[in-house]
Amino acid sequence: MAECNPIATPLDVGLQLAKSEKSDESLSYREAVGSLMYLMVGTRPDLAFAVGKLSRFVSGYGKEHWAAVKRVLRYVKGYVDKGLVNNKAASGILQGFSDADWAGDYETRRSTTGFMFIFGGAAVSWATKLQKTVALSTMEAEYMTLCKAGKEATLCGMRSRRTRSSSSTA
Amino acid sequence: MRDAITTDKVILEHCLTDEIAADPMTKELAEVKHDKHVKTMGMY
Repeated sequence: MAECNPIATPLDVGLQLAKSEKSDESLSYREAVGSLMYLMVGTRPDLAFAVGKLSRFVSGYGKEHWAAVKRVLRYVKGYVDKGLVNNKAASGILQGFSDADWAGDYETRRSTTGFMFIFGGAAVSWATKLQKTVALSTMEAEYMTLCKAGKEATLCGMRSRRTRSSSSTA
Repeated sequence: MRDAITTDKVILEHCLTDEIAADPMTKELAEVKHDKHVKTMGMY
């Protein structure tokens, strides 16, 4: 992949993948997804959805899944020098965003939860997850997402208070 | 959470799709929107 052409987005719009009955063991799919996950958890929230989607198929992948992984690697190559940058002039308020994609999973019709918290101009907490149950409406999917984001907001708020109190006593 | 909202520790606001930084966490986006959200995340 060192000689590949970079691309602007990690996944094709509307990409639908289905689980293969048998995995093609000649492909290093699991290793590649694991490496991308390491990147995503640390400093690359822009890869979160792509990694989340590709990791659903680690027990059943084929050529089309491998092509999607290669596309993500092409994207990483194009944005290899990008990272989260905190800005001291940015708002000191913790901002949280939550969103849901209703019935986004082609096979199970489950919705996707996504949230992100921004502090000091950069993301500090993010997650994307397939919901455990099937939401019957967009409102239900959004509500489930808000619940997850609310829990994370509470945790982020506690962390932020602890940081402030420790910095004021230092 | 209800306490946090009534005491204004948490303020809930409705955002338009284009303004939600979590939009790329739930679906594949085209280049223009993706770039916009990547900047919102603080990635430079």
